[in-house]
Amino acid sequence: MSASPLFPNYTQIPTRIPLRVWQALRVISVTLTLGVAYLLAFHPEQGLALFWKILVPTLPLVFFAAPGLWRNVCPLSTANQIPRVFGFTRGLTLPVWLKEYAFIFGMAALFVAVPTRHLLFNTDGRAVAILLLGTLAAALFGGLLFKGKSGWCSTFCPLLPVQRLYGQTPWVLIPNSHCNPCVGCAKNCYDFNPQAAYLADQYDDDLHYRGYRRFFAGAFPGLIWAYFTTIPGQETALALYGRFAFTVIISTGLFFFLDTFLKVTRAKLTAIYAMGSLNLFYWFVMPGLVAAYAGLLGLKPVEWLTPALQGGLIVASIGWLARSFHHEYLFRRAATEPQTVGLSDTAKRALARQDAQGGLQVTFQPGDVQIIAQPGKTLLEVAEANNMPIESGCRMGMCGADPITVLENGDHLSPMSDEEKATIARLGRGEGTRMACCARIQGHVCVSLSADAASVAVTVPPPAIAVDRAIKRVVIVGNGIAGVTAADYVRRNHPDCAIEVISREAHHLYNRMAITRLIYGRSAMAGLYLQPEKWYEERKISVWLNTRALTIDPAARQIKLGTGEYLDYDRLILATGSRSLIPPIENFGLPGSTVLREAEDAMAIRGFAQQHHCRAAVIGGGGLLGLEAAYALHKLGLRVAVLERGERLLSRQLDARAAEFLTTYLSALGLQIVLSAEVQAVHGAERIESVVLKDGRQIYTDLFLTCVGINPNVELARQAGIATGKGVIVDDRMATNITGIYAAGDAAEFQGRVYGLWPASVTQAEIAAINALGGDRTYTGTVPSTVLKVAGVDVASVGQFEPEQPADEVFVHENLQDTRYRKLVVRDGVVVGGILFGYPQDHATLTAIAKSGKPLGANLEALRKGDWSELFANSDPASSQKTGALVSVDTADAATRIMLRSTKRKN
Amino acid sequence: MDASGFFDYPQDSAEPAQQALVFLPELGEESWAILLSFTQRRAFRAGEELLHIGDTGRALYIVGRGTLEVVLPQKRGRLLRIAHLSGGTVFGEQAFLDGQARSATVQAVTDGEVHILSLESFEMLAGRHPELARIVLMDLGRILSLRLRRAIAMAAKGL
Ligand SMILES: Cc1cc2nc3c(=O)[nH]c(=O)nc-3n(C[C@H](O)[C@H](O)[C@H](O)COP(=O)(O)OP(=O)(O)OC[C@H]3O[C@@H](n4cnc5c(N)ncnc54)[C@H](O)[C@@H]3O)c2cc1C
Ligand code: SF4
Ligand code: FES
Repeated sequence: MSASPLFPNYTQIPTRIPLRVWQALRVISVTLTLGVAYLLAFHPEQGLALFWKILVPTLPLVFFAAPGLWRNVCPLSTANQIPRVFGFTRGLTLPVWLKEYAFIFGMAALFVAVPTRHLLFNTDGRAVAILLLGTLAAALFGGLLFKGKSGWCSTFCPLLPVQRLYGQTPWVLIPNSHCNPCVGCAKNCYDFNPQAAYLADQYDDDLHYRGYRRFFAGAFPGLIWAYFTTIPGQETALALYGRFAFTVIISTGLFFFLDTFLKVTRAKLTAIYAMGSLNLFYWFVMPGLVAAYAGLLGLKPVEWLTPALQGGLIVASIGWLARSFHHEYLFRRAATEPQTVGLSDTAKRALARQDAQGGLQVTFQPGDVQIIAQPGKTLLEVAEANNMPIESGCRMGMCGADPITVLENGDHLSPMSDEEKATIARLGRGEGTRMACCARIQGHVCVSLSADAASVAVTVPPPAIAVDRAIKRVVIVGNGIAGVTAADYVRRNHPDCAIEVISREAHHLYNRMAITRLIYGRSAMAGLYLQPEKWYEERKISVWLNTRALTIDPAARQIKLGTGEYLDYDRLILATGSRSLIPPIENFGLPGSTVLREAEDAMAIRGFAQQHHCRAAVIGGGGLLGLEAAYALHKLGLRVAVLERGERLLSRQLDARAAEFLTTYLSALGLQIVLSAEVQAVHGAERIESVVLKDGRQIYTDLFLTCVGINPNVELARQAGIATGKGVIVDDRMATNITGIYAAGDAAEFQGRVYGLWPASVTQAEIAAINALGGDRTYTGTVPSTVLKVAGVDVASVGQFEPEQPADEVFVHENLQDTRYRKLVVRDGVVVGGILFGYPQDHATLTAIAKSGKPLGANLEALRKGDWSELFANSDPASSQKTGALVSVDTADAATRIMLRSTKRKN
Repeated sequence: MDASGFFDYPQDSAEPAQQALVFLPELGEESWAILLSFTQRRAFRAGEELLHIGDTGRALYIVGRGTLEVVLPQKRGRLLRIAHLSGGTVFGEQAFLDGQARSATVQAVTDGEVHILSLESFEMLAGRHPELARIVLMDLGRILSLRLRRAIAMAAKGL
């Protein structure tokens, strides 16, 4: 909506009356004045009555209601402006001393003129005529000499103080029609800005300048009182002036007394005094004024008219005061608005340069927010960076936390990977949906963040296998991603068997990978659930929340629940996941020492930190989880130290060089990274106070999290006689050694390996479900692919990142200037893994290349020459051009050399 | 108090009355480019509201193109403009530092573009270019300090 200026100046106030009309009115006004002077001189009886009984008592009301009207038609201002209009003014600038004392002159003239009425002007028409004509001449003379209105109207005029006092908050705004253009002749000019002028005076930095004006406000009621309480002819002239002076002093004294003791802002008291004066004046003159007008119009006044008008004025005054107070507030608000901060020309050039480079426009609905982003960024990054309401988890299209609907130009987004398609299918969303973390922008797009009903289209593919119809009931233990994926695939392939999912946790499937958000964010579980509640209902999957599976009886094909109930099954899928590994640490379990695996853990950490005003935290373990937890606590405002037992961070994902880059970044963020540090014990009386390291060092802390790995939940299986190692041992069909029982996810051990990764859990669960129903799918392992979910670090690790065989080729490329680093491990011409630091847009490509197992072919030659551009054609061109230091080596030995070099530098 | 905004007499406007504070006056163009690469660019259309009074959100805004106005919402949906922000000005620096609620609404007068440095982006900047981040903070501190001096000078003059 469009705003109007606070206190518009006269050029911003709409003009309704054309200049011609004003000019005509001015001619009339001067003519009338001359007429009045004539009357006064030659018919003093009538002249005096007209002047003192009608004209003078009417003016204050005009000042009060529409001061601009008077400023435009005042005969004195007309006289004053004649030289300007006809171009014969000398246009001088008022000398400084006159600028200061002109107001005092005007005020003094008024203070002398008013008592003199009793001695002279009230009775002597000629004297008034001379006064009138003399003033006209003075105004004209002022205009002859000085520029603008500074020769009279905004300086010497004795009526000016009254106009400003009564007209400080005009009811009707009428713009100045004299000054065209403004020549800036007066300070805080009333004609320039009628609403701000008086306030600006009150708040002027010059103590004297504002003091004169405040003095007038204080003195004026005294003047009025003294005038109307005079009984003419009762005292000598000296006594009269003396009494006036005395009353004025009393009035002013009271003003400054109140000014000192009333705790109100500055302009309130002057406003109150102004209304006091006005009402006092009309208390005295209203009866006469009413009678005079009635006489003029030849009417007989009704008795109640005077009190009614006086009452009306009081009401109007109260409204006026309220407005004045509010204006003062607004004035102070605007005048204390901090000075604006500008930019240097260099900065403007940089802005212009960035502007010229363009950028892609991403429009978010609802709200029509337009972001301009760099090509290659994901929609998730763009949305997050701009504080849009979006959740995230895996940041690689697996979890389904961040669906968005593409409204326009879907083809301007990077193509979908298989994982992303599978996730969208699991979510049951249709055409137009993308996972924001996977959709990289390549052109202008328009997307919606709201779960758009239109795109929700449940697509259940027809059964792909011949299901065993004898299966009536499938029981799944665990409601994590493995359990839910299994349930989903069982239902997709077997439309009518009963599916029971047992969940120890009290939540429907939520995004475990995003639970660190529960630590620093305030929206708790909202947004963390990955399926709508009706998802289970729609698929006729019954869930037992907050319920444990206690034992399995494989012979009876029965499972016992913690509630004492028994469930029969035809097929059982164990998706019990894992829990945090707790290393042997003395005293662990002391309040404040804990782990992070479940939503409840994260919420408890947040609660604990608040309850005990935690300021410092220590994380044991520099792996993915440890760093993500550290970042979450950092965002919560804690001082965080990460202790890593080994020589480098993320030892399972990064080589030494990349870890070094990461350490530098995290340290600069404010995380303290301590290497070769292992916790021996935690200490504290009631709750944790410090941790003690194996080497004897002690670190004070309010919170300690251990994040050193996972421990698969195998107890249930082991008790039932199922073969277990680290996890529940499964074959390549995800079957355990007992018929009818399968396992998947973090709980499963395949070829000696527990993946502990979301994508592995999804794939395994799908295979377990299909095979349980009689299908025949084999699992060949998952290429681990992980990203660190810490803002600003784009580090990704895929597959094998260190050479293992002598013939392995390693390609390394460093860009020190931008702290970027990438590495590929190639075996027999096939990429088996690599590391990307600072190349987020290449992550998907690398994962795809490594998974595909396809030979590099011509790209290999290019790589050997140090040319990466072919391989990562998606990379933003800017980055591959400004390659800094280029290190390209092609044998395992050389790669080790680089690593040695970087370790050396560290020492 | 500074009421000069209400009395912008035309003849003064040749030379901008109050020499505005300049953000990072010494920073070179390359460093500016780095700093800008950490900001979020947001385009706005005339009439669009960018900040609402009372909102919280720690971000610094750099107006690239276009003009914005600072307004105070009044009764009956009326909006009073108390300041203009043209291209090449910075705002929101106070909330960026103290995280308090915005004290006025900011809306667009024309189409244009702002660059937003959120606290999070700033952290990333600090992670990548600690020296630049330090300069930014020092300069924000300098600006606040100058303002404080001005406020103290006003107070000293008996305002
Ligand atoms: C903070 C965090 C970040 C992560 N980030 C990533 C990442 O970036 N990338 C990645 O690939 N992986 C990540 N992971 C790992 C990933 O979350 C797990 O691999 C995945 O959740 C495993 O799923 P699951 O279903 O096998 O097991 P879980 O999610 O552990 O689910 C198992 C469920 O079974 C329940 N259960 C166990 N025993 C019983 C019983 N006897 N009766 C009833 N219920 C039982 C458990 O309570 C639990 O709810 C992260 C994990 C965490 C904690
Ligand atoms: S300052 Fe401008 S508007 Fe005011 S009287 Fe002088 S010329 Fe006219
Ligand atoms: S699917 Fe995008 S964050 Fe997981």
